[in-house]
Amino acid sequence: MRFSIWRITLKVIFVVFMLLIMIGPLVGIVIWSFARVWYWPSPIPQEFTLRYWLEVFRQGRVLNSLMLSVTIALLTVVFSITLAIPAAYGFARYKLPFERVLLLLFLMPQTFPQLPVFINLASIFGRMGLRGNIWGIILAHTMASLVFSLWIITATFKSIPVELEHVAQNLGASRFKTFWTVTFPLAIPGIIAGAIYVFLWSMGEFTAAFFIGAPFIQTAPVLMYTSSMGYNLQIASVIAIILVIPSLIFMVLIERFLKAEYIAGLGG
Amino acid sequence: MEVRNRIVGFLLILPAFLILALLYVYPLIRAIWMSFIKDGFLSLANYAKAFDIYSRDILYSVVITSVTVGFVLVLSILLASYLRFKEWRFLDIMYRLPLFIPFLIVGHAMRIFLAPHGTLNSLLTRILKVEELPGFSRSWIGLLWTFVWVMTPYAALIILGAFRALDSSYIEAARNLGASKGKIVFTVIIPMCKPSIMVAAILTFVRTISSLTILVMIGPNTPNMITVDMMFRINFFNDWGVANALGVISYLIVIVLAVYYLRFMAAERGGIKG
Amino acid sequence: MMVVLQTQNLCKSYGQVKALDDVNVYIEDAQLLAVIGPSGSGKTTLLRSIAGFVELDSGKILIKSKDVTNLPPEKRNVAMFFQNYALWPHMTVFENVAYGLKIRKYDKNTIRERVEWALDFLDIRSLAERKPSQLSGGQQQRVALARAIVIQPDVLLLDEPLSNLDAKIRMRIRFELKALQKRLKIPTLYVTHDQEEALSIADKIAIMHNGKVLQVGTPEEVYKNPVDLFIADFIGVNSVVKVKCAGEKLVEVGNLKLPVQKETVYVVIRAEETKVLPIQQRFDIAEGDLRLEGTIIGKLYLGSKYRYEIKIEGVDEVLFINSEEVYNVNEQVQIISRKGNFFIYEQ
Repeated sequence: MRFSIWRITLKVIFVVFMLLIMIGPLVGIVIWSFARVWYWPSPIPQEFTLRYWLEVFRQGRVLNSLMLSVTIALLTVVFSITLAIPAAYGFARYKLPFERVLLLLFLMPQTFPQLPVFINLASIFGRMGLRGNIWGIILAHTMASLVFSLWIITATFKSIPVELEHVAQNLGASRFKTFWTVTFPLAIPGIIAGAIYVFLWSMGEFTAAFFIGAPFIQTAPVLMYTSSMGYNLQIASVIAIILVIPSLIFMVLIERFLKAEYIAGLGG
Repeated sequence: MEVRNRIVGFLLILPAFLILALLYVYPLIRAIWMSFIKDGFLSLANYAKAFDIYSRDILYSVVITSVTVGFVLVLSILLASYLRFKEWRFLDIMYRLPLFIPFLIVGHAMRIFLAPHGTLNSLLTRILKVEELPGFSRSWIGLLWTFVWVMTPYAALIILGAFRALDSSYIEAARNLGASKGKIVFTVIIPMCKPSIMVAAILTFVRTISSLTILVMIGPNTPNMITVDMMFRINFFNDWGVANALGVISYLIVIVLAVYYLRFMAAERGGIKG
Repeated sequence: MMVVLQTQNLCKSYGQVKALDDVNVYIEDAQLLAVIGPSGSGKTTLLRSIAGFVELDSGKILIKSKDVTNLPPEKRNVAMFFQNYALWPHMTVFENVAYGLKIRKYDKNTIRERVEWALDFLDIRSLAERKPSQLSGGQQQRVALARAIVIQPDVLLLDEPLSNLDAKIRMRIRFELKALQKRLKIPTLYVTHDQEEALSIADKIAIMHNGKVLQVGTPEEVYKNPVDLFIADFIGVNSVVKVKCAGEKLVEVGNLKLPVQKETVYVVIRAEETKVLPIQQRFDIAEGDLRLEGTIIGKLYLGSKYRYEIKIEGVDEVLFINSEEVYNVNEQVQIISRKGNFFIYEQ
């Protein structure tokens, strides 16, 4: 019996420890988002305020940057998914010329640091007038997200037994008709998962948005960064919470579609 | 028909291919090319300068990254081994929490959490009944802590996935012969899941060494990692040559790992092709 | 007699492996042709090439005298029944069955009528609104069959249709399938690895091995006159022994002395139709019957009978013969196989 008491004590200590290190950092930003005055060594702020939260709902730079990020993310989703669906089908079902080269090309962005590409993209866009322009960011996000939306959707197509398509062809449907009536409807959950993933990634992406957009275009993460650097921790915390909540919700929803190998790239 | 098939397949991929060629491959080649250009001439001056100023940072990057990978592997293998044998919903949810949180926010949260007067210290000073504790943000300890915090879930997800995919009969056979769970992990599970563990290690390495956002939020001012140096070169000195040289150096650091990873993934995808 | 389906000199290689090696088969009228062979014999490649999913290296496929070799699968009007049924999980039973008709742009009423006819025909009308996931294996099989026959295909292709069913149901469905095929009068090509299934259901059987068609004939012909060792061994429950040539151009197998060209002969004995008798019992053997003497070295109880492992003097392999008589191990027995129940091949 003494053994099991030990076990329970150990387990409780472990749970508390886990909660502290995993949830602790998030609790910190929640408290900061309400803090008006907070001097050391008080464990909680001396004065609370809703002022910084209200800024989100008032016209102003916080709301603007959030709306901007949503716009960029939605357009990125549209482009990325539209490009990814045919490409994913190609990878899943066709024999391709230079197949190995293509595979390597589409896997490469996950494997090499992205920063050099983003800064050179910024410089190229600069000469094309796309720097400080939301289309520049959208293009960069489409490119970077294409790699993982493509693999998520490819995996979805591959999980659909090829016989289901063969029956349709056998019954007289053309390849396009087969795709439209059989493959696509069956792949919708995976495609939605990919879309959500791209959306969340784009919403939280900093590096490309910073080099291509700043200082004229301030997406939510960029504003968060500048606020945080300017020791405006409250605004930064409010934006952080707004960006985190949808991620935590969707994590539960799309989890089963995601293989870790495909999503290594989020966060940047 | 075979040829027609290939053409159709290629046409399906073409739009995505063009985007990638224009927006990824072209900047990549440009990065390499620009790193050899100094004042309009082909030279190695940028590399000389990069090594001159930043050799300490390059070493620092590699060391921090390697230590991160070590910690992440140990933690994620422990975690995956535990969860392979035992369902524990609490742990399952907890370890995955950082998965979807953008790095920038992780950096911000850790900055608040680990600061000298941050959330962690205000809790610890009360429990330990002391006046002051050192903060970890803006030091290598805080940086390492944050990297491990954010990278472990990915690695654990990959490794646990492989562990779970392993047929139970292998494990049952070992138990049947009298092996303890610990023994089974080391003699059966880890050797059989080696490729996935390698992939987890490689991805952790690449993502850590190419991370910028976490560093700008909580990294120490000096020494710094090469990504921050690249950012400074551009933002403060408008020096694209050295920035690109540093970029190419970061490519060279990961290239061996990248090749292994690409070969593994290409083989896997080739293998499951329908 | 009209030839509905004809393949002419089909060839297909995958690397070094010849999946189809000069394959010629045909189906007349509403016959059921069973293609049998062990796995890897090329039978599924043959079926899939007729459906259009395999690109041939050479050869021609004619359906109703029309060359379809280069037509894509959707233009062939052959209906294929897939081993795993391949029902679309996002459509109801009705929608699954109606798919081929919708593709052919029939009007709504015609589609409804014909789908209902097919569902009635297979006795699954009550399942029309269900999704495939709500059906049992047997029901799914019927839906897949309904989906194939409703388009009134020129040829029906069945790929191991019974392999996913329990042994007991399989027996019953064999009868049903045969009756159904006769009522529908659809020319059918039936691929299976199960020779017993093929014998019981087919009008004609084609036996494939290593990409070649070795023999085509009615079940009786194939059973009674297998043209080579492989077929004799493959069809029926058999035991094969190898006998080395004793003297010059002469081999002794039990009571028989055969003139031969080669070194060894193989004797295939139908295990089910051979008698095992006590060694002393007198038994009149006719011209051409085979009589062997041996010792029982092992036995298995099979329920209604025993399976005996019998050692023949001077032969390396042992014989496996089924018999209802009871013998003990080490007992001496004689084995009598009537003419036609054993086959001898030189090799």
